[in-house]
Amino acid sequence: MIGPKARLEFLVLVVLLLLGLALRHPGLLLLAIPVAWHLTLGFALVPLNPERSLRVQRTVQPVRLVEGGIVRVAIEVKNLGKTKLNIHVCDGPYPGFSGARGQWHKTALLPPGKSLSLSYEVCPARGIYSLRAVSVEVRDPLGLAPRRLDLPCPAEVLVLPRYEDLSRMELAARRTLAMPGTVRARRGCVGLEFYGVREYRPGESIRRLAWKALARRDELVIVEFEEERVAEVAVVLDVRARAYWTTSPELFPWAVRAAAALSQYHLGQGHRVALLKYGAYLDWVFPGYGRRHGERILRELARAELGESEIFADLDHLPTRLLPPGSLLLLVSPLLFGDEETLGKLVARGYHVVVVMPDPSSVGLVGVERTPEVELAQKIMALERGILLRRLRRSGVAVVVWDVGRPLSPLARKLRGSVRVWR
Amino acid sequence: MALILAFLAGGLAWLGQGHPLHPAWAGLALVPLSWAAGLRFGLRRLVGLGFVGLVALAAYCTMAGGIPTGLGVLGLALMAWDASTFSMTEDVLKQIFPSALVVGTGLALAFAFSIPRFSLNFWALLGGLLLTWLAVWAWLREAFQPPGGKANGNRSASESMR
Repeated sequence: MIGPKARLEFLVLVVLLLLGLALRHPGLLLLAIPVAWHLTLGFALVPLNPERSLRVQRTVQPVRLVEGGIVRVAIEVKNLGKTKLNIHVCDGPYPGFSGARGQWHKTALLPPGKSLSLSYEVCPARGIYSLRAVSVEVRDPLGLAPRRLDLPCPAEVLVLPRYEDLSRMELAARRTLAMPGTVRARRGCVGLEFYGVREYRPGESIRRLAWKALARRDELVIVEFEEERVAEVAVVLDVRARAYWTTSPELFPWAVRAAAALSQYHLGQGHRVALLKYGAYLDWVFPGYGRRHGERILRELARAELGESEIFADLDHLPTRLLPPGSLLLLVSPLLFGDEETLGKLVARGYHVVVVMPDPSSVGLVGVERTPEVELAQKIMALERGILLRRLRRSGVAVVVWDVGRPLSPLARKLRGSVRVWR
Repeated sequence: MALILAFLAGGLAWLGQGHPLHPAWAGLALVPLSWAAGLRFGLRRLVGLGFVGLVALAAYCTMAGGIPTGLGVLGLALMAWDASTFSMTEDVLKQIFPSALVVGTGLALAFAFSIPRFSLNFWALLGGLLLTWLAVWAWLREAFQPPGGKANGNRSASESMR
């Protein structure tokens, strides 16, 4: 409230008065008069309750965007009072908002009824940003008592992860649900792919009769097509900080993008998709269908952050009770030694486990000098990773090692056909 | 603007003393220079130091016998002090007007007090100053009270209801 300028001036006044009294020098006491007058009138000129006379409006466009997009923020401050105000408006800088272009702070003398406008553009990183208040500093004419006001002006910006549009990927679950979908259910019924022939049962449509087989065998035979159903898919994003520290934290945004791509692809195929963020705590998005559910998953991924927990240090605590056996489990993780055991157990329990592993060597080392020791350490890590991958493949886990500089889609397509479909 | 006023204050102090050529007066330039450094590098403490230096100079001039010179230096120091908080994007003349008015009336008041000759008991002076101080303190407390009233009534405990 009372600024440093007023405090120093008050100190000068006290010193002048004390010196004048101590030295019994009227000249020094006379010098104290202009200082005291300056202080008194300065405070008398301070605008009272400026928060009542200022109105702030903030426009944010767009409020929902994909990372890499640009957000335009416009702020208008209007003086509704009767006195001129010297104001300094400041909006930000907010953490995560980078590359600000334009004016995000401005100082002006604002006459009554007039407005001050400022606008800027930023390129925010993935996340959910709550812009709460605009900071306005109201300065009095002599600058003795500047007042900082936080005028509420809430806005939320949702920056979703950028994800690749996957196509022609056939990762089937071992067990399907009772609704029609795109996964072959190994059950003869209505569908597109030929499944087999069987004896005609009374009541069945004669349109499905195999006429050639009737002529050959002299008995009624019906053609069956393979039924296609939806499956239960769980996308598990590994948010254990330890898993990324040993490789590179720059991998995490790529892991989030992969999780977004996989979940959106399977939702687009009509499957029932759940999301689990495993690491700091269990953050679970219940299985669901449709666009709204896809938005819910993207929102959760937008605020995904690395975390640490002693309990979830390894994959042993994956909540398998939430995932019905036979469902498709898509784990996006750089993995740690020891994880292969848990994943092998999951395969043994009937889950179809696919691991999408962002390749640490594809992002390179950031902030580390390339010394012979570092190169040796990298070689050891690559060997360890090779052993881990071999163990995973032996235990029946499908693994995709993804060079993040390249698209994920061709790699995911390679998994096609390698999946046994169980009913 | 602040820098010009600070240099003017220093120059006035030097001229008021009969523009002496003693080498110690060369140190006078340090006061506005600290001001300049403070404004250039955004160090408010250096600006404050410059202000205190100019007030000390005004006190020296007054004690050396020149009350008008001392008051003039102090007036310029106060205006420079105000000018250091001005916004660079706005018209400086518009901003300096209230400061000049306040400092001008303050100086006039001080000159007016210097004319009458009266004697005042030391304790009466001290008492008067204390009373003035108390009045100013009470006014400031009243004027800058934060908005909102005092809450009354019963409040529920923060414990969970069972």
